[in-house]
Amino acid sequence: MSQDNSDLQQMVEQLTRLYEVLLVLGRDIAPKNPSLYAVMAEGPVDQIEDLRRQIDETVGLASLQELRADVWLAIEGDGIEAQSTPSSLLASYLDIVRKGVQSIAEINLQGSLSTRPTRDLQEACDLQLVALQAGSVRLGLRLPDGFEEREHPDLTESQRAASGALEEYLEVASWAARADDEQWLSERFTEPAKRKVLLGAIKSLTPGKRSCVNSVTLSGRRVPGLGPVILTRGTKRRLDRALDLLVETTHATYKGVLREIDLDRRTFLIRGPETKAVVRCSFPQTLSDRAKEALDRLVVVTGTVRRDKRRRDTVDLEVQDLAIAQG
Amino acid sequence: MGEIKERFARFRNSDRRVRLYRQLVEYVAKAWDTSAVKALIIDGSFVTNKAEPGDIDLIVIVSAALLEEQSLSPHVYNVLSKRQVKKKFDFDLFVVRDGSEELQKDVEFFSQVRGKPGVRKGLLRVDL
Repeated sequence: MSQDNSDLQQMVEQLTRLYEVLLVLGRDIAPKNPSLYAVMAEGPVDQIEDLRRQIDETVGLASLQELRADVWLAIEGDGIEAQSTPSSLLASYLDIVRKGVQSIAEINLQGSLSTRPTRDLQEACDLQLVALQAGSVRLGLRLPDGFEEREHPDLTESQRAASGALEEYLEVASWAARADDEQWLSERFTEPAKRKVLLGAIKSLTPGKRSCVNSVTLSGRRVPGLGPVILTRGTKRRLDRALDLLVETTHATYKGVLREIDLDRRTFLIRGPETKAVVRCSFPQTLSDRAKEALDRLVVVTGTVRRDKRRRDTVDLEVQDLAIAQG
Repeated sequence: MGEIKERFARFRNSDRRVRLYRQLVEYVAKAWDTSAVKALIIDGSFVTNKAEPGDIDLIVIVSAALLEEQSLSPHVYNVLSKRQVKKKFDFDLFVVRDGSEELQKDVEFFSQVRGKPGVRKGLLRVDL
């Protein structure tokens, strides 16, 4: 008998012992004292799950399982363990992935995000939960009916978009988890608006400073190189840097009427007549008196502009100088 | 417990054994208080020769009379629930009745040496 076979036989024997223990407990304890039965069963039940997992790995079932899902999502963190993970956490992660893939698919189809994606697209991006593994929190997800373009040439437009979006989602996650190749993202996705959606989608999945989640690991058949792709708090910093690159900083002057001053936050708006966009201004303490005096008057403001490349209707200006226009 | 301290709770490469022993003493005190626990069987790398043991596994032997209780009081529950004990002490445990069939099976289970079928190891019993 090979070493593997004897290990397997030992594990199966151990598993049988534990099943027999459960049988005894169910027969002798459960009818008389259900709460004691529940407590006494905890040990064998956990151990059975552990042994099953070891057996699955030994016989190769674990790697077959791996291929059942497009993507596996393993969530690790303080207090996150099998049978005691808050359902709200699982629900929010499932939603983050679904919405991320959906927004990428929508950008691919329409070039922009809408407030309400079509029902077709929503259904195509509604990933199915194919497995929830015990022992650690690991969710197996796949697109509805596991559709992949090369396997099903007759996919609808929405299904194709969802499939492509999942591919891109995982590509960007994989890039974010690597600590090299800064240029890859801007070369692969040249359109800033799309890059922003992709980065935002992965950022939502990545653990933040105050999250109880320490890491999210992606693997599975659709993950580049099958994974693992490990997203940590460090990954979030990388994503933030990439998002910062999407914001242009320039020096500019605007003329318009000063409105909606907030002296506590030290902000005001500049509207027309020369500016089409609304200019949201923040100003230093030293300009407070002048800003107050200038309310509802035509002014010229100069400062540093941060323009979000995706939003063309709003400009953020850090005011350095403010002058009330004559006349 | 003094014998256990002498044999297994000495400072080796680190104070890991000392810390595990302190936790064990704390658990034993709580178990003693319940009057429901008759004995403990200690397993895990703590009762091996390993310099840096990872864990303590316990078989907690309870009085058969516990079966007659209508419900478990919180202080009994906190000593017998695997999840509570894992959270508080980081021990893994099995709960069995004194002299029962499940005790025999659990002892057989824990006596096995992983990856060495046919080899049996000894377990340490502490009567309370």
